[in-house]
Amino acid sequence: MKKKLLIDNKLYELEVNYGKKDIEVTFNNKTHNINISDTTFNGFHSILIDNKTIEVFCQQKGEDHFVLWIGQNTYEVKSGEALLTESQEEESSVIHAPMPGLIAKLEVKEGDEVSKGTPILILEAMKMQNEIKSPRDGVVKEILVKEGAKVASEDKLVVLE
Amino acid sequence: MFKKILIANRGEIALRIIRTCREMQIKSVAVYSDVDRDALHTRSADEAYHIGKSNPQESYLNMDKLIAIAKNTDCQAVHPGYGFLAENVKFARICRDEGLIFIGPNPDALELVGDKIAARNTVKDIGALIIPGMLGKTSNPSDFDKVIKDIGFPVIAKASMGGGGKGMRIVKNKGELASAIELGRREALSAFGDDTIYIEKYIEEPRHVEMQVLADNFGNAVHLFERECSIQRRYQKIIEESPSPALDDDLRKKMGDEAIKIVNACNYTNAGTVEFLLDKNKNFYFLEVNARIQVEHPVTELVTGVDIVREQIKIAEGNKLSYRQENLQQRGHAIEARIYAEDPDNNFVPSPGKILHLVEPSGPGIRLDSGIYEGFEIPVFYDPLISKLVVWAENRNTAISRMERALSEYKIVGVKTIIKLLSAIMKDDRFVKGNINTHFLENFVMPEDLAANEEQVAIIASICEKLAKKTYGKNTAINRKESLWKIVGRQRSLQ
Repeated sequence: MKKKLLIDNKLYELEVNYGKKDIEVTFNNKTHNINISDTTFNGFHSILIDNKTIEVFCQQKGEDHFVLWIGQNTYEVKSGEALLTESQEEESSVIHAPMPGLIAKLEVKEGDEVSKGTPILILEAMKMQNEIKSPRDGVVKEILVKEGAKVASEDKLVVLE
Repeated sequence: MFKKILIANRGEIALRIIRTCREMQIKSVAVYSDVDRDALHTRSADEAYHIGKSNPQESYLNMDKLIAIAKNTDCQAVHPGYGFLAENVKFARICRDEGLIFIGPNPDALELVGDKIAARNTVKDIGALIIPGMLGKTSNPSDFDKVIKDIGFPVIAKASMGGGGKGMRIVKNKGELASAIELGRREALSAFGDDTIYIEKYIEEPRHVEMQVLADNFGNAVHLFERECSIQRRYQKIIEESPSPALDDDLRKKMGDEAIKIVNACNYTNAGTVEFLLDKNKNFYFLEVNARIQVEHPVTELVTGVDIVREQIKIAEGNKLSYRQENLQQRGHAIEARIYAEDPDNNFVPSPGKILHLVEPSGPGIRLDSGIYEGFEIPVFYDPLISKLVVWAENRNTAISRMERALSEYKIVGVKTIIKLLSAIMKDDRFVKGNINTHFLENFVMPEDLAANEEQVAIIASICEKLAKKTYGKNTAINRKESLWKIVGRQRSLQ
């Protein structure tokens, strides 16, 4: 079975074949044998990739949307056509809250021209004043939050044109 | 002798203090804000009292309520920990006036050293080196311009009542000055309740080396040697060690003697830290006195065997120092790594949230001072420091290997942490050689995660559905309203 994946927004193609016990995964023309433990230890699965041990925690965020915790790294994994296109479109026009917090100050108003790095707003979280900067040049199309508002991580803050 | 102490703090340091209280048969009283009912310090103390809303101003900084709780619960003393009210002169005075002992410096010394500008003047007067910069208080932009004219860019803007890097920013040119002062003022006001900002010359490539001191109420003072704290980001320490690879016995003695001279000049009492910047030519400049138990105190405890919190309590009870200088020595090597809930891949933005799964390191030479547990939600209202991993070994190289091993065992799922940055530092050649300064992290390049393990990650990513099914069961609804934590918890209780 061919499979398309976005890992941290980079596209990958692999072939996955489920056997009775083990799984065979082909990537870059190399086939690997995968074995998954039946039990979890503190939520972690033990995975053997060609008999090499790896501890993995898999958090499901939604349909075809996962976060993998491997070693000290996390990876966002998306699959399915809908998610693949949506995440690519949205990426450059919407500024999301990188963390939960309070909108301490808005530095721009709707209609303002901004360049890459222009301070957009100050988000206060964990005693720090965090400056949220524009990811690219553009015009502020819509501001979705007010000063003093509480926001959650990933909330949409500002839309750029 | 104290029978009961109120701990005016939260998180790992509150827990650290509770532990020593328990060993000394002293009862501990915790306070908690709305969001901290389930916090570890609330659960661990002998008694716990609600203090107010989650915002620090309405809880851990609420002096009247803290005093009322301390008196109503028959506490003899208040331990402020670090941060919050630890260096607040007004609080120390109110404690004294209300018949409570403040476990920290006497209020006059606290006032002197807590005001960084006043401390700079005192230290200058006894002939010690200070960093060129402001010696007066002002909020007038033209006064800042005048000082900068003399010392030149770059400068550091600092909170006069500050500490721990809060409110502190480097300013490279005039264009950055106004916003650095403005952001610094807001941070300083929210963290310390005072928005005075001053500037001093930025010393190039310095090491941050500090001396731990203890002083009793009878004029006796000793130092517990140095801590090297050069690995910093945003002027906040993330790795500390003792001994410092930069000091020999001669320099160590000089810095120790100077620290004691400064402490005596300030009539300082209880535990404190004299911070210095050490330049390439081994000149050391006075930076400030931290008038509190410090975050990094465990490295000193591991190499000297002294329980600094116990000494603080004994000094506050009116005892003479338990140690003479000649009885103190450094044994082996200790390193502390601070675990912050921040995203190292995204400019260290804070990453509060729920701890879904937790595996803590253990084994030889490990000490973990932690304020979290599996299922705990790290609040957005407070400092992102969630725990401190400290290792001891017979020498520096073994300590580094041990820290690397311990970090690899430490798994925190649910929030982003800087653990992988800390691991990468342990493998860095400059760090291993002890060739470090406070700029170390500015030109530090994180090894690329995905590139290194691309094949492995892609393979595992291709079987995510299978992993999720094994964890949550075949028929679990997707886009569930309930938290995964609850579902996992329920499944576990059925097993």
